[in-house]
Formats: sequence, structure tokens, C-alpha cells
Amino acid sequence: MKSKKTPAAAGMGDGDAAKVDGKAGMDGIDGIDGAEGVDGGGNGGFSQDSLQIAAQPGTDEIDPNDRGMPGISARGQQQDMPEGSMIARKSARALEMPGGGMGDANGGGSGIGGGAGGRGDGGPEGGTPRARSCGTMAVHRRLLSTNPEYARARDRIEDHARQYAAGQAASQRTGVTRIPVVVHVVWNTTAQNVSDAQINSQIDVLNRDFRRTNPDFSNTPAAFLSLATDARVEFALATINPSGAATNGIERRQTSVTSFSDNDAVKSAAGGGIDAWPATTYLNIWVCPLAGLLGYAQFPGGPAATDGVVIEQSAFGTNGTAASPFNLGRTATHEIGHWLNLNHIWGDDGTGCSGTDNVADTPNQGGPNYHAPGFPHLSCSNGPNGDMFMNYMDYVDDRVMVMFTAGQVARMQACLDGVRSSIGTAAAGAIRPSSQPIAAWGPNRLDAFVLGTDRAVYHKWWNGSAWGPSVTGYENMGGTCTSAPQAVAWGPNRLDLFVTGTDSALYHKWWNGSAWGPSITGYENMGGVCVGDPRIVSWGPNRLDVFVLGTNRALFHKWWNGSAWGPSLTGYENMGGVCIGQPEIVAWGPNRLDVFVIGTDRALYHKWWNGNAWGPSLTGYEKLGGTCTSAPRVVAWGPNRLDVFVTGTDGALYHKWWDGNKWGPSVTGFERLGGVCIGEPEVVAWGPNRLDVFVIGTDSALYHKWWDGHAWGPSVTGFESLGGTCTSQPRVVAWGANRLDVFVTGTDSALYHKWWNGRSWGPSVTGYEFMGGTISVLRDEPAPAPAPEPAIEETAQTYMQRGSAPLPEMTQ
Amino acid sequence: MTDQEATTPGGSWTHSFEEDTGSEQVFRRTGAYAFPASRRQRDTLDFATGQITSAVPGPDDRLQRSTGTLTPLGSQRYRLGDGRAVEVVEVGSDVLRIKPA
Repeated sequence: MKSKKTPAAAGMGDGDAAKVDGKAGMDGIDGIDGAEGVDGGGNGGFSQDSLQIAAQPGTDEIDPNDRGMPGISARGQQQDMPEGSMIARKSARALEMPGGGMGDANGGGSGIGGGAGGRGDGGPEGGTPRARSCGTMAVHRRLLSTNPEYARARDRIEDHARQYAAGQAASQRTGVTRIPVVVHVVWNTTAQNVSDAQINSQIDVLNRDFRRTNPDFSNTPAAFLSLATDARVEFALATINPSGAATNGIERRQTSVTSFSDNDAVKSAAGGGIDAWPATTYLNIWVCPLAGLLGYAQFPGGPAATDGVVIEQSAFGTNGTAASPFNLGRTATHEIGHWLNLNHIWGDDGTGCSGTDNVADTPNQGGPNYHAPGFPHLSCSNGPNGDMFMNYMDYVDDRVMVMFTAGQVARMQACLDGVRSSIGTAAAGAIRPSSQPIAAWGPNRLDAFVLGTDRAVYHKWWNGSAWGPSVTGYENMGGTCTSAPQAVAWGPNRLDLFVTGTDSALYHKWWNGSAWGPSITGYENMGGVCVGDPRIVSWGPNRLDVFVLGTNRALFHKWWNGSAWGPSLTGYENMGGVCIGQPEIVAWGPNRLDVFVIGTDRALYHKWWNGNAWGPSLTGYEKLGGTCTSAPRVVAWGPNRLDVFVTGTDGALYHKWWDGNKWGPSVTGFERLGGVCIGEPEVVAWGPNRLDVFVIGTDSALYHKWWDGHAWGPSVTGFESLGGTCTSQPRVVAWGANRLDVFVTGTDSALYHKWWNGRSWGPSVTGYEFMGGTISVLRDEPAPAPAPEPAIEETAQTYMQRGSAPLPEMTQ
Repeated sequence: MTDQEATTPGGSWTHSFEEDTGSEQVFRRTGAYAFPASRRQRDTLDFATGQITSAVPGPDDRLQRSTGTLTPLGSQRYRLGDGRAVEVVEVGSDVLRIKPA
């Protein structure tokens, strides 16, 4: 481990927290009907026939009959957990032999690609020069000429888009990207304060136009019909604001400004408007009185404070103040096209024929078309079909615009894969990482939770500019815990933290944006007798799904639906199985869960929630093969995409994936990725079709490999050495595109940190930042071992604590 | 009032292109006429200051404005900033019509 090493427990307490033991946690618990939350109808796992409940003895008084969480009886049809072995993919060369150490360490940071992309300044200066230009140079051009970083960002964006246009890269987002929208209504006269109904009408238009479900799509001329394409983008008013509070996605302000211009004043409170919400998460739409133009946009790559589109209030939506011929919401469709990096279809060269919109399937065109031209309208020798004036990126009246082309969609998807890769996927979007000790609820924000030697929870955070409470200090959050803290964020500035206590019950606390609940050192008792670490995921705002293993090693589930815990505060739903190691949960979309566990045969098993029911059944599992020596680690880099990583009996890393239709390399096969790994792998996806995998080698150093969308780096079975002598599994989060933060403990039990900033590792390739503390727990349970006891438990006895037990507060 | 005075435009006029007919362009008093919203930008002729103001949409739809000189050539003819010569066809209290000279 490079960098400073100080074994002292800087800022760490010494065990002054009042410990919560099993007895304390059990005082007054009565037997509760075990049927609560236990489904006996599983058709592939455990049945729940005769259920008896007994009060849980203290954790030091294990009942010999204790084999499980609530209600274990006879095992049902055993379609789960048979034998299996790890199958290496044929294409993966077995370059790394077991015990051979971590290979191909190239020590460099190369290969972590940038996904940003390109120039796209829209072509040459528009219009025939009539005279000298006045001082109102377009902001876009001013930025290009005065802001080198913006110019470089535009170059990267355009290079990235060109790869898509050339067929060298393809859209990495499968399915539909749903973009959270905030509408800032800035009004001077009462009439300009557009209604919620008018705003909703605009969102409806966007969702039709960008999905090619607009009813006037049939007006597309036959000659262009085959080019018209679904952009696979949808829009929804935000439900969580940047502070983590619930919102309707609409902000309003009356202003003294009678009308705004295109100088961005409307985008700041100081300018008489409203400040932008973070561009990494939201599409900002300002609606205001706008003089002399119907709307304007900012291309991707510009300043976040002004990112978004501005629409004149009378050209917004389809009702209220919307006025013909701009009352069909197409101004916003056009401006959002720019926001997703589309150029004007005429190429922004005035009326000339030399400009380009950087899209191959749109005809060359002279200048903009206005109003409602007759078809065909010829220019630039583009007969017989002429201009594609019915394209959203021309200047015709709203009723005439009806389509995007495939080339334009590819360009928008390139933008979503590149410079806007965080939009529609982050906290306010669809894909959320499952819980771990480190959480990032927003860009440039980190919250780390560890256990001290007193097994209390300690917290530190990065607020974008400094570590709190200090670089090496920690905030004591009380408790006496037996699991690694598991944190999850369902929205900005929101954290939910789960641990198990000495009574093996689950405990919960939360940060609501301003304070910890139930108190800074207090915890909410959620019942249960849990084995190993809990696992939590949030598939949407104010939604939590918690999974734990019971003492019978079955999987148990509880959930927060926004208003209450299900099946009850301390009750659990039995999901069957006999599992070893920590379960892994991933949500690749709203109301979607994928659960992975290791069975007693060490094979990988899978079940899923599709929004309506559990598959293959409530208590059944799909066998995915293998003989695994680690708990599974799974990420989703896009909707309906899963990547699973485990270690095999040879210590190597293995991988399989769900591509939306099937498992690869096969249902029970795995791709061998080499190495000899100690402990469990860590995986993170900072963008579509991007994976970063971290493991600890036999020399206790940290190793890294990555998938860049095309190939594994540094090679299929090779790893990049990142140095260190680590005593914990690595914990990694990505708070933004092309950003990684890695945390491990050193031999002095202190916390260490390193980061990838998009260009290089900090503080160096093999160096680490010392973060103090004496950490007792940062890692998950050790690698799973075969269960010694019979998989089938005949005794129907539950030890799950339920009901109205007094809640022992884990206070200091 | 002489004929010359009667046909000399004064003040600021904005292009009302919706009313153009053939080669004739129609202008209305700036600030005194409710121009309909349009994606097309409107030129303004200011005979008081001798300036012509134009705007074209930039790549992001922000306006790129430019100004030029409105040079009197005599006999109701003017040269615009881009070199074109135009002739005033009609001047009324609220309408100005011009055509290429």
C-alpha cells in the first residue's frame, strides 16, 4: 500500500456504544402467526405447510432445531440447487492457471475509454453575410471560441457520434431511455403561468414524437417512410428533486422581466429566472415569455448551469396559451433534438448546399423551410423527393413536422451513450446499484459506512470539495453491528442504511436530506434472525426491497412501498431456497428485480420479479450452473441487461450475461476471465456497455479489468495491478460517467481510497489516499462454503421475530 | 407636402413577410404591429438611424444578429447592407412596400 500509513484509529470510537444483544432484542416478543409474509404455495422451493412459531432465544442460545427463518417445513419439489460445474467459454483462453497469480498486470490506466464525444458545431456560419456582425454572437459560438474545454468536449462528442454514423459503434442502451424532466415556468403576466395541464400536454407530445407514435406520422411521404424511426426516448416529469424531496417536476416563479432573450438570463435566479437542476440527471425545460424566437437549446458538452432548452410559452404544449401554428408542441421536440446533439437538417450554412447536419440519411438541403411547403420541395439538386421538410429539425409549422430519421436516432443514441450517459440511468432514472457500504446519491458525492473496532457504524462523506467530518475523521452513528453496513440511495440526498445487530435482527436508519432517523445513533428494528449481510435495492423513488438469509439459509424479502413496510415492519416474505453467501439483487428498471444466490451445490441460482409475479415461482429458482467460490456480483448497465461475476474453484473470475433475450455464453456456462482471486469480485458500470471489475490477488494487491463495449482490457484474462496490500474486498462506486472511487482497508485496518477521474488513477496507479480509522468490517461475509447441514429441514419452527416486539434502539 | 416627402419612409419598419406578394416585400411599423409568431426571423429597416438589422438562427436556434447600412441612393432607392438596391413602392402610415430596384 503506497501513501501514508498510520495504524492509529483516527477519529474512531472505542466501543462506547451500548451493545444490542440477542436477549435485549427479544424482550417481550410473542409468538406471531408465521403465515405472515410466508407463502406456502411455492411450486419449486419450500412449502410452508405446518408452521409453528417459537420465540427466538438469545443469539448465544441457539436452539438445536433452529434451521431457519419463519416456517420451514418439508421441502418442496427440488428443482433448485443440484450439481453443476464451472464451464469456461470456449473463446476465453485459459491463460491463467489456478495458483498462478494475477496475470497481465500492465500497471497502466489505459483502456478506460471516454464515452464522450464530439464537435458538432452545426456547420459553418449561417446566412449570407449582409454586413458586419453585431455583438450578439451566439452563445454556442462564443463558447467554442473562448472556452477551450467546451471546444474539446464538442470535438469528443462529434468524434463519438461519427463512430455511430460509420457503424463502428452501436447504441448501447437497449430498450427505451426515460429522461426525468423539470419544467421551470417563469412568468410575468398571469396568463404566461402555463398550467400543469399545458405542461402535461407537452410531455405527451414528446413521448409520441420520440417514440414515433405521433398520430400525424401517417403524413410522412412514402419516399421517406422507411427512414422514419423510433428514437427510443421517453420523458417524465421528475418525481424527486435534487435535494431528495418529492416533486411534481414543475417549478414556478413570477418575474419582473417582461420578456427574455436567448442570453440565458432565464436560467438563473439572478437573471430573473430559475436555476437549473443537475444536468447529469434532469432535462431542464424553461418556459417563459421569449422575445423574437420560439425556443433555443444548448448542445451537449456545455456548462451544466445552462444545460437544457428554453421555450416561448405560446409555443409550448397543445393547450392553454399555445397558439397556432405552433400549438402542437413541436418547438420542444425540435429543441430537445438539439439537446441530444441533432443539427438543423439544412446544415446551418444559410441557404447554401455545402453544409451538413452530420446525418447521412437526410437529403442535402438549401436553407430552412418555413410554414407548410408542398411535397416535393426541391433544393440542392435533391430531386425527385427534395427536402425532408417534414423532419422535426426543419423550421416548418408544427403540423408539418412528423419524423426523425434512423441516422438522427443513431446520433441521439450516441449522445445518450456518451456525453449524456448518466441521464435516464442514475438516481432519478431506471437503473440503481444494489446496496453496499459506499453509496453515491449524486454526482461528486460519496458516503462511506464502516464498522469500527467497537462494531459501531462510522460514517464519512465527500461533498464534492472535501471529506467530512475530516479526511481521517468519522461520524459515530452508534449501534453494535454484526454485518457490513449496507447503504442505498433512492434519490438525491437520501440514504437508507441497514445492518444486523447482535440479536441478528435487521436494523435500519435513514438520512432524509436534513437529519438521520430515527436519530443519529438510533435504529429502527426490522425483526428477523439474519445470517450474513442484508442486501437492499431500490427500483424507484421511495421504494426499497430488502433481502436477507434466514438461519435456514432460505431467502427472505421485505419491502418499503413509500408508506409502509411489507409484509409488515418486522415480517418477511419467504422466498425459499437454501443459499450460501450474500444474495445479490439488481433492479434494471422500475418494478423489476433480479435476485442471484449460490446454492448448497455452489451453483448460481436466479429468480426475478417482473412487476407482477416472481419467476420462476415465489420460492423456485432458475439454475445458472457453475461451482462458485464467491457470492455473485451483478450489475445492469442498461435496461434488460445483466452481467454476473463469480469466482470458480480455480480462483479465476467467471462471467455470464443476460442480453435481453438469453444468457451468454449459455444458460449454465461462464466466460473465464482469468486470475486467482481472493474474496469476492466487485463490479461497477459507469455507463452503457461499460464494466469495471476489481478483485484482490493472491499477493493482496488490487487488480482491475474492464469491458469497454468491444473487448476486455487489458485482455480477456489479464488484469491491471493497482497495488496495495488489501485486507478487505474492494468497494467501488461510480458517481458519474468515467468516474470510479475505490475503497479498501490496509494492513493497519485503516481505510484507503483511490479514484479514476476519466484520465488517470489518483493519487497514482498504485497509490492510495489514507482515510484513517480502524475498520473492523468493510467486506461482506467470506466466500461461501458448502452448507454442513441437510438442505431439507423437517422441523417446522421459526425463529423469525415478528410483530409488536419492543424495538431495541442501538444507541450509544 | 411634396411628393418627395409623401414617399419618404421614416422610422423603423419590420418585415411582414406573410404579406409579401411576388417581388414586393411588405413592412409594418416596428412596435406598432402585432406580428404573428414565426420560426423565420424578420429584418428591420430603420430609416432614422440608417441601419438594417437582420437575424438568422444559429445551430442552437439562438439568434445571430447582424446590422448593415441603409444607404439612400435618391429617387426612393436605397442600397441594403448586402449590396442589393431596392426601391420604395409605397409608404403609408402603417405599411411600407419595396421591390428590387
